[in-house]
Amino acid sequence: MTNERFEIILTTDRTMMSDHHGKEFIGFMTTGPPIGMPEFLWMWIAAPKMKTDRLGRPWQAPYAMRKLEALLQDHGYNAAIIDPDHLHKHLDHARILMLSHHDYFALCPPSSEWWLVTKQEPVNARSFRRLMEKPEIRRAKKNGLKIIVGGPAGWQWLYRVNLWEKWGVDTVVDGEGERIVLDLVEKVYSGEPLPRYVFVGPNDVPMIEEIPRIKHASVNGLIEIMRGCPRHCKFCSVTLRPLRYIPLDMIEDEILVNVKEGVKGGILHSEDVLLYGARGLRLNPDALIKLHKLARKHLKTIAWAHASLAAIKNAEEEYGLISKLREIICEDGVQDYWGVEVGVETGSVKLAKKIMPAKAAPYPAEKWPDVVEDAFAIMHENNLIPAATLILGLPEEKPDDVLRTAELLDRLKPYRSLIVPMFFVPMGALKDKDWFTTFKVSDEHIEVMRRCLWHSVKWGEEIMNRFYLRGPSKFPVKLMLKLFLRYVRWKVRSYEEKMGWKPLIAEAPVIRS
Amino acid sequence: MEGFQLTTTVESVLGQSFSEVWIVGELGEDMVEALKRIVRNRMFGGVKRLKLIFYLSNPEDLNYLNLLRPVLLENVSMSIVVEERPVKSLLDDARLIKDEVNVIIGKMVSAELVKAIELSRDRLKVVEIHD
Repeated sequence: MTNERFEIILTTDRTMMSDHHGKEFIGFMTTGPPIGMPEFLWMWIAAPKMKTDRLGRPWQAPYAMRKLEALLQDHGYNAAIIDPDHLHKHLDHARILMLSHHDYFALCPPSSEWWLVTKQEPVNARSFRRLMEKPEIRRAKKNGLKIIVGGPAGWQWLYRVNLWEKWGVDTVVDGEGERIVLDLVEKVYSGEPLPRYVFVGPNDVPMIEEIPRIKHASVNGLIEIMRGCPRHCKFCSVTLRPLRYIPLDMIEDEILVNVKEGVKGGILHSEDVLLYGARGLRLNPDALIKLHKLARKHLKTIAWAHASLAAIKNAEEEYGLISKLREIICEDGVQDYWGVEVGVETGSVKLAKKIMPAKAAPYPAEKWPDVVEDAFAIMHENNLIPAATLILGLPEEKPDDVLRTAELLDRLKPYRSLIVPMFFVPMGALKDKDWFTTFKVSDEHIEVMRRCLWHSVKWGEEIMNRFYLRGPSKFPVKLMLKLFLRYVRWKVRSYEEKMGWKPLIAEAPVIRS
Repeated sequence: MEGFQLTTTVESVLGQSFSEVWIVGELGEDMVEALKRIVRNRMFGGVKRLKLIFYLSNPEDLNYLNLLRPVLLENVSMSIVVEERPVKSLLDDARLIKDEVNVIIGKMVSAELVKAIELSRDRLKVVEIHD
């Protein structure tokens, strides 16, 4: 019989506990404030409520939380992920509340950027605050509930100590959670005081055999295929951790967990999917083909979380691998495109050499702009649709570096993609550097942001018309998104006219076949 | 806890050996640089795990974390644990010291610190804040 009283509750706010209509990319709307519509409508588009069972256990939940849920259950703890709307059913008899988030306070890019540009707090931070101020959490806290927070945005609590104190958070964990979480739970169960803060260093991350297999479905079927990254870009925290490849049998088990629970599509998650099974930075086509055939065997649709542009170029030019993987991914005709996040970061060779010298490997860092354009061309030709990011305000950035980025954006016009500029956030080896703040936004930055915006509006409309949200059930969301893009177009054009700027929209991209 | 099957064995973090630094009394801005220096020295000295223990007169007040933030951000390679303890536990803790521990003396230091240093059999080493 199912135990209906959980002692350890794992949860997060609605912006994370949602399948975003089955489209992970729509989830990015939660990083912005509601624009041109009321917040409830914005939330309905960006983060619709998750289906739950009678106890409030969600059908799908964030993958990292599924890992910890499995770990705790494997060790005999009565733990479950609970949807934020159902916490009142459990908190009165729970001992520990665990929270995870990608961006608790909207300090990560692109949230911080939308906040800066619109002067309005993004919905992810609003939604998390509403969660923490729920009466059931406040009441349980007064009755001795322990609150442990972590996840990729755990570091943000160091910048919000007042809320750490106000909301009674007992412990903040920054880093991979598998090894530390059992220590913390054991302390609570034995009545020992909890540490206030834990940073999990590279020596304390779990080995493959310590990583549990999820027991229930993850959001949009996301499955981890590796951890860590060997490229050592200085702005990235993932690269500080050792590289671990998840074995195929474990990947298959987790895919089957999702499929069995009705999640037919999957996202292969890695910082660089094409490095799966690689020897250093040398690609392993055999491992990649096996991985994709395995995914194809069980999943209806496949997407990639992240890939590096250098690996995309190298994969296609040396092995014809993007074309081969396209054949596998699109073989049954159910999908004719797939998505991925990529990092352009900068168009400046000088900055690329300083902050991400191995990002272009196996090509020299001097060739970075060419690597980017070649990779974009390969993706365009193979219907691999990238959501690309740029970083503005990197340490030591000069106006000329930003102009080089603007020039690169012009070269990328013909290629189907969304490009989002992000302000530098001190993470990874650069985490002790200064934040990029309002007064440093220069004319060159504004120019890059405009170019990104018009590029993304133009291609966003094309992607929406040709690829995205097909079928009658998706029509209302698609309609809202189209209206939103029109609103953005109108709003930005009006602003440009007011400022006397030459309209960039006139420079329509050349569409390559 | 009954009837479960353990499928994943996981190593403990807190059960490992940690290099310790004690901060006794309230953390002041002038102490931040000294703490940064200690963190850097430990990190470059190959220390894998560091515990910062704050002996505070009011352990409910988390303001010290605002000052500690730049110290924590110095680190990329060690596991760091931050703990708070009431000043009154200082003497008991000093008796149990096995290895040498650096101590930074904060504002409003309790008279118990001198006693604690004696009890530690000179294993508590006071760090000068200014070079």
